[in-house]
Amino acid sequence: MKLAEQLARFHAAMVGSAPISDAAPLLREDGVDRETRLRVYVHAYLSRIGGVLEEHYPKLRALLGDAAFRPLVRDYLRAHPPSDPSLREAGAFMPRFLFHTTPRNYLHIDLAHLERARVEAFDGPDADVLTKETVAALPPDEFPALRLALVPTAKLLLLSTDAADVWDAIEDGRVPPDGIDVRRVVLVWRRATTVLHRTLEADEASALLQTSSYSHGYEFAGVCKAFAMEPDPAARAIELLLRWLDAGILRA
Amino acid sequence: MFPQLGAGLGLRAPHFSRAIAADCGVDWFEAITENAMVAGGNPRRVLRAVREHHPLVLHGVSLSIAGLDPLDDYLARLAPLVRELEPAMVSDHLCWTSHGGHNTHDLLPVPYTQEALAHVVTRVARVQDALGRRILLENPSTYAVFADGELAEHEFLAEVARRADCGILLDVNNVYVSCANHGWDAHTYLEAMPVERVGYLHIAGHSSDGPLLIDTHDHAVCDEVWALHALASQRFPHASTLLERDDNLPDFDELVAELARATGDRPAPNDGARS
Repeated sequence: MKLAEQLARFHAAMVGSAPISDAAPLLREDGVDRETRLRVYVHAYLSRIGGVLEEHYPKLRALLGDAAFRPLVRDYLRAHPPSDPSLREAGAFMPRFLFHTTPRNYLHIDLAHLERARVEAFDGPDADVLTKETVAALPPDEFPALRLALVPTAKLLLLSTDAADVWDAIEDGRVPPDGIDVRRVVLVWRRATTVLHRTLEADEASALLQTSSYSHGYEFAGVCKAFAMEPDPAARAIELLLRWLDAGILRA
Repeated sequence: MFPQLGAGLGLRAPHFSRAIAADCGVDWFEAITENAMVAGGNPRRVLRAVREHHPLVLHGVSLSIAGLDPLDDYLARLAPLVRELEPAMVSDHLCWTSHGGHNTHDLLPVPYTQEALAHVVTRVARVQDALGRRILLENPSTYAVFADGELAEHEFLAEVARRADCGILLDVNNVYVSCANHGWDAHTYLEAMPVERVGYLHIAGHSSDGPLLIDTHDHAVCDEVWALHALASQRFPHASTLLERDDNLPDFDELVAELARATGDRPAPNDGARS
């Protein structure tokens, strides 16, 4: 038998697209049942990638419980078999998979979006960060034209539930809220080796969404329009700019 | 043929902060290649930091050297990583992991046929051309053997290394596990390995599942594997040793203490001095 056929039949049995009994005749007959030998590989495949998905979606797993999470992993792997060499990409399609799962559960989808964004923030490329010192050194007349852009590891998530509150509650060991439908913008970012997220207030969300809409950033003067309804727009703009500089989410 | 690095440890995330210290008690580290195949960020930053004080070896699990999928995409990511990190050695497994574009992330067994031998040799040459250096291939733990096999596993591995002019990463635990699973003789296996091509040794713990031993990396190294390591250290005196541990990960100091036993297995250096 040709190598191509041997690998194809072994692979099909391993990933469940053919019964294990189809591949058993490929193997040498000896003291141990051939299907028992094949099951070692089937189990390793599911448990290795399942372990990574548990690590990358800890709060989704906690919310669902293992009894529901394990079948979810099995179904997900059938729909999205990994193709990337890095196991860290194995769970990349979980939010999309949940979106197409019936009945659709937006809390689960949002929780998956948040957890995937945290993984991507951890792995994302480094970038030079805009510092307070650089901003302080700018001549006042150049301030309005200062372009604000997010670093690649800072992402804004537009969620339709309070999934971030659910995440926080599970993290803190509290009973999670029910997962109400509510528009939220959540910032996910990395500082040194730690990934953080925070639900944004409406004006801050508006300003950062404006900033992230342009690949080369958006002028500070334009960003400030988001604060027009504030009692003191300039003070609010400065407050938030300092917060973003402290967080290290703006690109130099 | 390959650098002598001493006793090393598989680099795992909970130990990052210890591994970047110059005096961490470990001679060298081995990192999983694919964990650094991301856009940047922490994985590569940690490896660069480790590299400042210790030799680093890149150990892949997804090259799929015996598979049929094209190597191009993988090599396009591996080559720049090797250029950036300048690892002391680059290794992967004698297995296949991908088929039809699906990466199983599992080390699947190779039919030890003449056809597969020629196929693997051709692909190793392709990899070594792309990297501009020799790679090392590791014997995986195997749980099944193809009925069509024409060579024993040790013959196949030694022949790949000879024909492709590559190195061997001899996993002593995998020798033990595979020999137990198939009724092979571990001493015959070791003796079949060409001495000059064995660049380093792996040691790890395993567990049993019914009639089979499983390479789980979740226990300390057992006495039987240590005994085999002592033999291997005598037979391959230039080979370094690397302790692997993935699950039930102990703290760093416990692994350093376990690793010290590997140093004790080394033959006394002969520097030509006379007393």
